[in-house]
Amino acid sequence: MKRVATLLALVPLLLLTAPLMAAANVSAQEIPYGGRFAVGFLESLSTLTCGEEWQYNDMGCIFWPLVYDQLWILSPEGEIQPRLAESWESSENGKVWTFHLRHDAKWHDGQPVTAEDVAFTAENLPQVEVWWYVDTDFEEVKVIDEYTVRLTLVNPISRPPMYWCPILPKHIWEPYAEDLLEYDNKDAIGSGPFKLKEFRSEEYVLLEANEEYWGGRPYVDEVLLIAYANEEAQILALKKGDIQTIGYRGLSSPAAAEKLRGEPNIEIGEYPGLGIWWLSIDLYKEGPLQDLNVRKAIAYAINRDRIIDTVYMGYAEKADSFVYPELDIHNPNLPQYDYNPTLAAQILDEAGYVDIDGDGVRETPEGDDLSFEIITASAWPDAIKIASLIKEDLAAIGINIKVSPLDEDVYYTMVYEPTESEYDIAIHEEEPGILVDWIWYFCLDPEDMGAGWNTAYYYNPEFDELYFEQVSEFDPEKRKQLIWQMQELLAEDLPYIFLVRPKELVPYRTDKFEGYVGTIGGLSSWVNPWTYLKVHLKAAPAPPPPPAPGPAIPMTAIAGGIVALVIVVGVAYYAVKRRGS
Amino acid sequence: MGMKEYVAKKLFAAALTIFGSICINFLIFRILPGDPLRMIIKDPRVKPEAMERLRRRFGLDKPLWVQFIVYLTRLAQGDMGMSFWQKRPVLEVVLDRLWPTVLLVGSAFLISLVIGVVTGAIVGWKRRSKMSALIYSVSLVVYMIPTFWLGILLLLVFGYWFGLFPLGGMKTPGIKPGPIGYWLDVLNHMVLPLIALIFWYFGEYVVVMRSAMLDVLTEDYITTARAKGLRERVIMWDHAVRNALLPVTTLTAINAGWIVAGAIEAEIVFSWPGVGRLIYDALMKRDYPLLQGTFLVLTVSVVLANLLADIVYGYLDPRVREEAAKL
Repeated sequence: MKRVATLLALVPLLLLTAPLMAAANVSAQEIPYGGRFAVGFLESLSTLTCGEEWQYNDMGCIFWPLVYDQLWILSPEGEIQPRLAESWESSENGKVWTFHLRHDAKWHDGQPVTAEDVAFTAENLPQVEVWWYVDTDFEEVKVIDEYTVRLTLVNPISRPPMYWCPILPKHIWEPYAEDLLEYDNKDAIGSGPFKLKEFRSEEYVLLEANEEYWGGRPYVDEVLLIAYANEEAQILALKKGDIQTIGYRGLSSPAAAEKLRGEPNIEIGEYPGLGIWWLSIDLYKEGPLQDLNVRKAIAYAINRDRIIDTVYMGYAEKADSFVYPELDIHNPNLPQYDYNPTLAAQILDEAGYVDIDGDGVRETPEGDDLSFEIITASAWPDAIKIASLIKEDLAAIGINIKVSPLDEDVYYTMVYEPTESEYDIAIHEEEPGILVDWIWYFCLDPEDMGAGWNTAYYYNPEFDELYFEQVSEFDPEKRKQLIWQMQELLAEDLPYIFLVRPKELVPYRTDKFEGYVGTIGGLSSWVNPWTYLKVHLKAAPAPPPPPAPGPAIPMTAIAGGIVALVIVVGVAYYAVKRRGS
Repeated sequence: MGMKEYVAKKLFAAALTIFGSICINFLIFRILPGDPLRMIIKDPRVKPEAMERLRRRFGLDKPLWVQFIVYLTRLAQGDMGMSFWQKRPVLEVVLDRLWPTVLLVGSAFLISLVIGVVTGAIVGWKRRSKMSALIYSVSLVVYMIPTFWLGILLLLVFGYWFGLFPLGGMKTPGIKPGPIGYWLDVLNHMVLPLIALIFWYFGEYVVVMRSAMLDVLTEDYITTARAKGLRERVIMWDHAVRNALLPVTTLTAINAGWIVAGAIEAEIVFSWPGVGRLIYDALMKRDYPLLQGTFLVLTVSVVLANLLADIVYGYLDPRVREEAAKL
């Protein structure tokens, strides 16, 4: 479910775990090296090819940033940090970017990392469909000297290009330049802080510290990303100490977190969410949903507090934009659609939608029922719960809703092809990311830049203009104002009705390791590789392992099960005896 | 009808069945709603031209019948295609999973076959004893316990509480010991899933074997054997059990064919890298080549197991061959 974010405004993010970081601020000599830092996942990596799984797979989007270094990355605070590139400059208003590489970076096989490698990657990686983006869309790629490379973009942007892009070794990938996906990449030679030690498809990825890394080796000897095929086993593994934390964003539900509270040596971290849920409305489809009044009424009729309380047990916040509220580029003055069914009903009354035949459902002036279908993916339990709450909310103002949970591929085909599918309403979630850039494609001209992205088929030329202006705007204040205006347009036009942003609840063990780094999205996500780079064994020798965690087991459940079993055996025995005699 | 003709006839029928299922396998997944490319690329960033290119790469742009001909031609050359999802040859993906599956499910199958048949025979033979009734009841209950529940319980008690066994997977990551160490490690990982599966299979054999025994025990030749004054032990094993084994043969053949299908519940509970989960994932991802590949392997093994059973039957019982000749 992860998405790459690329783009603009760099606003210092709040660092959410001050105490954790404080613990990590011990001087370098005291920090012990060693240990295997194991992290559990529910989704496993099937292949090391540089395709979809590096982008969308929970384990894949953690794996490659540890093994492959990038030109630059975002710090936990959201600031641009040089990596393979030591410095860079841009000319022609962000159209041409020149990168100066560091001289001491080496591939895991000992070869130096040079401008040739960067040029090779810039030329070929964007040819793989999932890596193409405005900031990897190059007009010209030119090697100036061994450690200098010049990238000329098709569309200028105001921050360095190639965000969240692995730099690949030319000497290994060159034979596959035509189609990088043809290379199975079994050895995964990169230049990052970790090296691949062992990979088992659909089971685990084992990494080891890269002693030769220019920035110094990471503290832990090994990182193990291991998949469990069910959440119960994963949680048992955490309680047993087989894994130290849970990998992608955290637990599936607050209920799972409640069960872990009070466990010895386990803390539950609470972090701002990476994902945002919203309703997408197909504006291409002829009908009452094209009427802004109807969309406004829906927005007012949804009780977001109830969603937060019942679906997320309070661990969520209301969302009103694609931009996270703690970011500077979030517009704090957006029109709010607070729960107000009376106002919603009034809007519908005034717009001529009244219940003529007295069946509890309003009719359009043409006499059709105000009745819509909400589509969602059956694999998303949250979405189904949210949809059923919305169904009740809308029934209260006389709008009839049918909820249709679909297979994921059917769902995606429908939302991304609004002209073909002509759906009514979809419940959608994305991870806009810290740069909040690519997400605007959901609102750009659906026949042009937004084609294939704009699930609402929304078109407002003013929005497109603002978007292009801010992409290449270097002045942060001006850029902020432009993005604020974009958000305002969306809140007024309502192609998307924002719902909630669930918090990430991440359990982690405190007995062996410390130095976890928490950001938006928790301890480990595609925007946060930092935990793996900073975590280390506790300076003091770990206390002896606690005695067998007997009391933690739901003994009553087991006892109940055994009693039930004995009763069943007894009954069966009796029955068999009766028939036998 | 001679044995040779009988076998030839059965072989022909088996080949026909396999071909038929190849055709059905090809069609059935394509009838499913949805677009495999959307499972591969959930990302809206992909431009329509790129989608077209992908469609061409996977041959999905051609009409269905052309895709079918291409599929058949390649299959004839032993090429099962590339998995959309894993970007590896289907054969490689399936073989990766086949070995752990056969190891786990095969062992469970053999162990429960032996224990189940012996238990069933004893329970059937001593059907009036209290002990038999108790054993039979226990096996029935064990057979009915949901594997998922039993599996989680085993994990909780022996994996977590007593900490005797790992909580999932097939081997400890990063350990590259000698061959003996490797096997001990795999065995250690295999114990819990094996127990869960044996529980599941074992009851079935007990039930079938017991009822077969009960049937056989009413036969005249048992009475005759008793009248001849043979020892009980000889009557039980040489007269009763041997004849009661026929229905078990059928069950065994059916179960043997399904070994390669894996055991999805046990694989999920114990995170075992088996074929069951592979089929499930392939289905969820609409990975046509992988689905066709796994289903083909499955069909072939089920058909072969049945063929083997037919042949063994024909060998054991000439009447079966006579029946076949009439068809």
